[in-house]
Amino acid sequence: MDDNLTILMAEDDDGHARLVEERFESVGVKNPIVRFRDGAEAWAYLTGPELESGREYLLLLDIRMPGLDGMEILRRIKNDPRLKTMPVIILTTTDDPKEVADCYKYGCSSYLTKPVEFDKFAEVIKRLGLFLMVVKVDKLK
Amino acid sequence: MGNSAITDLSRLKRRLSAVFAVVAGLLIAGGAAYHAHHRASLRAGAEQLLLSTAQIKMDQLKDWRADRLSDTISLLDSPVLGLYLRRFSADRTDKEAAGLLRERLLAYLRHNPYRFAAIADEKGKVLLSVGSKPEITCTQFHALIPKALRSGRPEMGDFYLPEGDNSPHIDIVAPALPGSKAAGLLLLLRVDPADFLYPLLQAWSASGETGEILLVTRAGDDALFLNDVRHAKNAAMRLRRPITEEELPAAIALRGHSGIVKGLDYRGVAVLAAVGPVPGTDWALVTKMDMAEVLKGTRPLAGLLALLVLALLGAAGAAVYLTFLREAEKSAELLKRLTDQVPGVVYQYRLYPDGSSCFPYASSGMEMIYEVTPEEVREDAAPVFGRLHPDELKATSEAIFASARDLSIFHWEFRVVLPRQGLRWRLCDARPERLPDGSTLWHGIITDATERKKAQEELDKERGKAAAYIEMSGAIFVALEADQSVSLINSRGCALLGRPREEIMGANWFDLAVPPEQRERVKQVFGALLRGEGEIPEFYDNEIITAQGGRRVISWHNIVRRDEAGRAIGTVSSGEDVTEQRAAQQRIEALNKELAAKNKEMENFLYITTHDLRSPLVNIQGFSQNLQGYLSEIGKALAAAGLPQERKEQAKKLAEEKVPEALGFVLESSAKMDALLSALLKVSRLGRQQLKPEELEMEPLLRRIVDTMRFQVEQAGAEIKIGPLPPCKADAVSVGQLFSNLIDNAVKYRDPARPLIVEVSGESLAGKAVYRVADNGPGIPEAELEKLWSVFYKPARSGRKNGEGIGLPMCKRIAERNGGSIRVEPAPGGGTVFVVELPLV
Repeated sequence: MDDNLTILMAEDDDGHARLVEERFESVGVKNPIVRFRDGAEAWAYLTGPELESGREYLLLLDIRMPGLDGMEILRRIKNDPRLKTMPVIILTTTDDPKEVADCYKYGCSSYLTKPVEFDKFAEVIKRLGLFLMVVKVDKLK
Repeated sequence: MGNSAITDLSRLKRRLSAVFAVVAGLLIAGGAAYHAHHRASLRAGAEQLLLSTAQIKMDQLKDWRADRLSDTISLLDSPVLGLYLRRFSADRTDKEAAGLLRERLLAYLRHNPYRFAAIADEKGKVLLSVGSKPEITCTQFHALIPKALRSGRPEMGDFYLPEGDNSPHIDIVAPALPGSKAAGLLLLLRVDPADFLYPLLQAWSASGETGEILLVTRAGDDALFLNDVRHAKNAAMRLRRPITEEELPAAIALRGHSGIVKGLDYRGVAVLAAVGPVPGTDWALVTKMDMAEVLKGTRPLAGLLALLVLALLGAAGAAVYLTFLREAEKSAELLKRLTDQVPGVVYQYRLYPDGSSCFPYASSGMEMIYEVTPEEVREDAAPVFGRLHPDELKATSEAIFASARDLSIFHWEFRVVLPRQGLRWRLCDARPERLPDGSTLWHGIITDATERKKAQEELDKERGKAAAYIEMSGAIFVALEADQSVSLINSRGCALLGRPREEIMGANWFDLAVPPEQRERVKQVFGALLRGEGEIPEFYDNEIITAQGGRRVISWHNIVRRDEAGRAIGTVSSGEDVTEQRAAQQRIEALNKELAAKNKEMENFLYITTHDLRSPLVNIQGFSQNLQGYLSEIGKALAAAGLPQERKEQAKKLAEEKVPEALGFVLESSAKMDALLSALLKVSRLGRQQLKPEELEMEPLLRRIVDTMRFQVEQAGAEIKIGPLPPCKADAVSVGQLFSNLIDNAVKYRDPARPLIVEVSGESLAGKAVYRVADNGPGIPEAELEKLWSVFYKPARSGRKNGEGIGLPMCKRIAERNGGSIRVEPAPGGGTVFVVELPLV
């Protein structure tokens, strides 16, 4: 497990956020998770001082968020020279193919749907966690 | 005979005259030519005769002269005579010698054609002579002496007529002793031309009535006729004519000409003569014949010829005349036939200055036209006027007078009342001319115009009706001329424009009725319509402005009017006021747009809502699971805790029964909710999707679907039959989903008691592609058939089977969005039939 990796999560629903954390834990993902409640907060952090250079970051992004929504965040990130190498994984309830296509168009690394059925949901997160354990993320400049 | 075309008589006359003239010319020319030829040949013959005769005579004359001269030589050549001559020459007084000489000469005279012989001396004194009568010497004699002495040969002199004597003579003088220089004696022999010469000249068997041969000589300025002429007495040596006389053949001959001469002889009569000098003399020979004799017989011949020519001319003239007559007869017959057959009367009508009139000529049709005979009106036209309808009398007379006055064509339609035919219409066309006596003569034709008049009246009535229809019509009628002016408008049109008819008629339609901003365009459309250019729709709308300034929308139907040559001369348009209609249409369109917009909004809303509703569900499920987990831990903890048994029992019951049961309900409910939301989501998504309709081959599509489901189908032991299916036009993906769902449902909800058979069949029916998916499952109760389509429908059977299916509402949505429909029917024999209708290709 890569200790240098910080997982950023932009998710407006507390419940969802909690569930994700629990599942990560159950799988063994121990990396710090930074939670944003909306797009604005996420962006403020991403562009703020707290973002450490030399550290690896990965962003879990929900599309439907009040205010600045996920699509916009994605777009901004991918247009930002410093941030654009950051992997962004869309984690959202919607599975509309058009939305999916748009996200990939903007440059997301992956798109995962949150199933309502909890088992499945847990499965998805587990897999994501395992994936994170092996993935190699570039350090932030 | 009656079929021949009418002969142009004047042309025929000209032709025949020309023919006659040519024939006449030929005949006359022929006759004249023949006559001339005859004369010429006669003349040629005469000339031939004259020339040959002249030649003969000339030769004879020459011979005679030569003979006479040689006579003299031979006489003198006698030795005896020579002896005597020498004796006498030596002694002129020797009477014996003289007497011997005389005897000898006398004897000679008896046998030779001389009438006098003499011996003379060089001076011309006669020394001795013998002869029939005494003769005296003459000038000729004396002139000959030196000549003879010089030449030493006999010399013949010219004719000489002594005064008071009737008979001329010719002397021949020769030296008596030629070769003897000193002889000095000359012999004289005197010839009487009457002995031989005149007869010689007269002897011409072919002399005919007037022919003669003349010997002439020059005497001073005259031509002297040496022999007797036939036509005058005692001319020999007496008849003279001036040598200058132009046409006298004798004079011509003496002037030096020879050959054939036509001239006037000593009588002044025209003669043909062969003339020429006699060589060796001063004489000329004229062999002549009267021209009249030469050309004898030509006159009667000419007369005959003329007679013949005349006869032939007469015949030709008669033939020509008869031909002409025949043609004229034919013409007259044709004319009669024509005028008899013409459906009407051909006539001449004469109006005298005093007002009376008649029909100098009327064809037999007069009887049909007026029921009077041509004879009845030949002198007086009153019977005809008696037939006119009383109302027509005045006007007709005036028209006749006007035509007479102006010499204008009389064209008049009028009624007559006839005994047999009753009231009829007549049409008269005639052309007048003025005659020298002041009357007017018309040549014309009158025909029966009753039928035509009736037809005309019918036509006018129909026209009136048509005009009335147009007037009464609820549609607007406008006719425009090529110059854009209005030539017709009905009341409805006037009402529409809010203007009186007078204002509209003749005005420019576009300037009057078309809104200013559209004027140019509409005018161009009009122009193009007239020219037949481009694709102008027959029907089109455009706005009209009313007099009050309002606007109405009119739907026009336009037709181009053309003349016989096919040129566009204007348009006829009928129009409907569709202002309200159009307004209504626009409102409908606006409403439709609104509706579509609202629908879209609705779908979006739906879409967003379903998603937002899903999120909490995630939590409910997730934390419920958590709760379950916590619960089991609590259970364990409780079990381990030291609690009174009753409490333990209570807690256990809660932990193991009640709470899980409650949680179970919670989870189940949230799962249901999720299913509903998913269905709704899918339905709404379909609304947002763009469908791509294309030509679909349904059989391959169905086979693919069945193929994908092969596992389930085999597991279920089901049989899917796909019959021939018509192609349709629809979105491939959604239609695939639809049929997938139907077949999936059939498999899922099959009757366990019998093996499932699904039959997919199709046909094209009433313009749609109709597909039937029939299964032999348990069937759907009648009461539920309608409810199937609701999103909230729950099939009334055990265990809702959760599949990836999209549900029947979705199928309905897909069918409708593809322009079709879906319905369900119970299948005969149990089972269900889903009937899907989709648009045909």
